[in-house]
Amino acid sequence: MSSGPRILVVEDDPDVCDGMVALLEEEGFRAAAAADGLEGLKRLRELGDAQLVLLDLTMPRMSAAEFRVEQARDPSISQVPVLLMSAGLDIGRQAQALGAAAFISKPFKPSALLAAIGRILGKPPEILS
Amino acid sequence: MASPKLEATGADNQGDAPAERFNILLVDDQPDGLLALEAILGPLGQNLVRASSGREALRLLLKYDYALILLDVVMPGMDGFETAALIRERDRTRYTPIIFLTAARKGEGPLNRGYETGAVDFIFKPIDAEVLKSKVRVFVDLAKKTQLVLQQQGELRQAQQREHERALSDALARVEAQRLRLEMEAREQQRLWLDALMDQLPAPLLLADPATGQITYASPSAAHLREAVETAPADSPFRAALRGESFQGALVEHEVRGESGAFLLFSRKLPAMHARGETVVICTSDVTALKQTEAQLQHAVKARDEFMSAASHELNTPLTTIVLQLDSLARHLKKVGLGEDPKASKVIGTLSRNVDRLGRLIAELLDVSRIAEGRLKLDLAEVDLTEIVRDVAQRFEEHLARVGCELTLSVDGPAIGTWDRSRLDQVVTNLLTNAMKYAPGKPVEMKVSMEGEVCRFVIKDNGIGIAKENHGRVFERFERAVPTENYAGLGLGLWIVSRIVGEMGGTISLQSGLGEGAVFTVELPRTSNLVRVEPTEEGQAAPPAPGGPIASPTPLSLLASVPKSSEVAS
Repeated sequence: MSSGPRILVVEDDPDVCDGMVALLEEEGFRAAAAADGLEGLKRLRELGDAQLVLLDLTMPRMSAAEFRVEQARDPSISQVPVLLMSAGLDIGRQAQALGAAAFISKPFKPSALLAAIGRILGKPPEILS
Repeated sequence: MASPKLEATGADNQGDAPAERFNILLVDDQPDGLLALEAILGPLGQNLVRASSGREALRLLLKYDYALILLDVVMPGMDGFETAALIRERDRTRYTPIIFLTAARKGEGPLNRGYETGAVDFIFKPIDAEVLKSKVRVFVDLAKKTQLVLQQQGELRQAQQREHERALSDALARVEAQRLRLEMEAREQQRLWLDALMDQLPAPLLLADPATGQITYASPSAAHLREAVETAPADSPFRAALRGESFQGALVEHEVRGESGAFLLFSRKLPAMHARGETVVICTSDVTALKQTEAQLQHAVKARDEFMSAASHELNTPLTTIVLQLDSLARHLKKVGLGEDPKASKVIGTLSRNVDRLGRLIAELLDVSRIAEGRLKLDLAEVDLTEIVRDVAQRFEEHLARVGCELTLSVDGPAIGTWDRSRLDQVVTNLLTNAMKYAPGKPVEMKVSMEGEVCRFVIKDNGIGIAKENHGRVFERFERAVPTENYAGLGLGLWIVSRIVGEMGGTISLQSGLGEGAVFTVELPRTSNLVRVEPTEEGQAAPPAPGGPIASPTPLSLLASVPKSSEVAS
């Protein structure tokens, strides 16, 4: 098992979610997954050591905005930075509104995602072969 | 001639009966003579006035009027003739009858002189009383008749005057009546004219009395409006209009019997005008249909926006999976030692390129509608075009190599301006991919330069070129200046590029001829009048090529945007 930082992926599309988890694990992160905001909050609390949340903008049951509000209310998880992802339009503005540390549009190049993660976590970006 | 008036003696009646007593002037220096005259004439009942000299006579003649003057000829000082001459000189007494009293006989010299001076008769001394009386009576009669005539003349004149005045006032009254009638007719005509005009107006029109708020007139097409106004709530602009408030096209929405409508309200107070006091005119433009259309449009736009958003999501999500899986596959191949396997590499490469292409096309499609409506929002920041161009060049390095386009990059140094990074990236990418598509195997040159306040980006290829007649068309949406069977594409790229450039206040121009390659020149002002968006983070305003630049957070400042309750105490 890798011992890298814990990253929680909150993404409702199962294929995208699996793909991201696989990528993160490949790169030495410890990845956890949740299918929507509600589950995401639960996992975040359970994990206790997540250093980053990759949060999809459009999800059922609880939107990213609601997720952020709930996250802010809970001191145990409110500090965890969020990287917002979206397959939709105008993500920039929404990311700003939600106080995300960064945002990325889908589809993204894996290397670009990793570079961003690296910047947020303060590590140099992984060099892909 | 002066009427023989009685003065001091009393009867001043000029009105009804002629005066019975007239003045007769007796002039004789001899008191006996005067006495004798008085005795003779007394019975006639006239007013006998004495004078002892010509001078006195003249004096007395100044005071009163006389019917007759009996004048003694022989007098010391001024004799009768001289006196008569003087009497005749005065207007007042020019025609007063004078009878000379003389001792001389008829036919002698002095008589002629008497007649010359205007005598009417002579009486010879010694005076025959009856003759004198009779003569004097004649003159008294004459005086009476004269007075009567004058009186009658006066009355006649007065009557004529009154008649004249009456006729005049009658005429004036008629003229006035006529004038009033004409005025009323004119007013009536005006009123009819105005009413006909207002009745004819297709737009609803109301007249109201601002004092009472009552509607006094409604044009035939105003039935609906009238109802709306009369049933409007107290705070409605309609009510305010009824009170005389002025409106210039204010939008009023209301409901009448369950039907909602929208009007543009125009109202003002009209100044008072004869029969009509102050009036308020209310007219409206029915914009109900417009409002409904507006609502429908808004609804349609919202629906379309929602669709676009959903479409974007639906299209990009599986694409994300494909990218991730390709990446995973590549890694796996490397792990099992097939990283250098030519066939594997080729397949992966082809898949990658086409996924990129698909992503770009989807982005273009989604862009089009937003750009078309002018809802292109720019995230402005201090951006270096040189850096962007280098970035794009690097990203397409492999692709360029594969299509055999040797890229030359000429830059002077940084080219910094207030622009939208991701959109500029889109511009450069679009132009470069076009060059690669239409000029494979030929060198491509990209150049960035700064000239004062203008930044210039030039991309030159040596491909098939664009015919002069198509230059205008290439920037239009959906236009393809190449045969569609030879070159695939949506025809959106250059249109999007031109809109983005335009939105940043710049221009794009084309130099090309068929078979001569193409030179696209983009010129951007360093700064524009566009409002700068707060630079919290750079990002993608719309998804350009997959894997394009994403947000790079400034480390701590952005993390600070996530509320840190632990920091509160510090």
